[in-house]
Amino acid sequence: MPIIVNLDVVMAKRKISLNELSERVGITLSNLSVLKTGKAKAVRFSTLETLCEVLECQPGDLLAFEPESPKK
Amino acid sequence: MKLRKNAPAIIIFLFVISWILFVGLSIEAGTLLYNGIATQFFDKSNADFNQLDSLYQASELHYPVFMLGLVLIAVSKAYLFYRLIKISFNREFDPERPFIREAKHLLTTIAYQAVEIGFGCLLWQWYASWLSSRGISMPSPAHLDIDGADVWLFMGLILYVMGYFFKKGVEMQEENTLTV
Repeated sequence: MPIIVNLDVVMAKRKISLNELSERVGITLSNLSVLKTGKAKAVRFSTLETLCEVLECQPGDLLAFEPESPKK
Repeated sequence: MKLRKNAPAIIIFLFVISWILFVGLSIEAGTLLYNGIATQFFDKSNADFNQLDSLYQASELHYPVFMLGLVLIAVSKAYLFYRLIKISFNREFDPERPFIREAKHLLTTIAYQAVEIGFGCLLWQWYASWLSSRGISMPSPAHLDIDGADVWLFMGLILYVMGYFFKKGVEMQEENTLTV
């Protein structure tokens, strides 16, 4: 998927575990895991807002776009 | 029975009705099968159980063929309700979140099966009327439980359309599940 979720990178920088992030953001561990592993199909703005608030970062720190390489 | 305890009452009611219909149709299919075999191999007088003694006397070829058709139609009906009951034993089935792939698949296969039953009833009604035209006294389609072909066909069509909408519901529910 072209949208890359860098949640694990930001979590490592802030030295916060998934459990702690789950408690502070108010999202279940399974949902956070879905987001972290790139399986999520969509992210709500409210979730993104809470993540940025807790992790003290910008949405661009969490999300990146890498276009898929064109098939030869 | 693995329906959740907090399932809506209507779901539980329909589940119970499905079980009753499944048991009844199974008994009917078993009775027809036993009667056909008993008539062919043991006691010819059993043919009058379904008022088919005239058919048996007129043709020993048409009788087993006709009985086979009746048995297949009865078994198909019982199997249709069995499939309906079976969905409730699926651990993923939750009346609060019904749009699962198994339910969509069930709707589609039941639709096809209903159409098959409808065409089977139509064919056997035509067969019975053809036998009547040859001077054999045949019971009514209602007595043989092969009437209502148009109802089965209509139900099959409706279920197929519902299956299509269910497919869209499955896609939306899956996307919603993966929305954080």
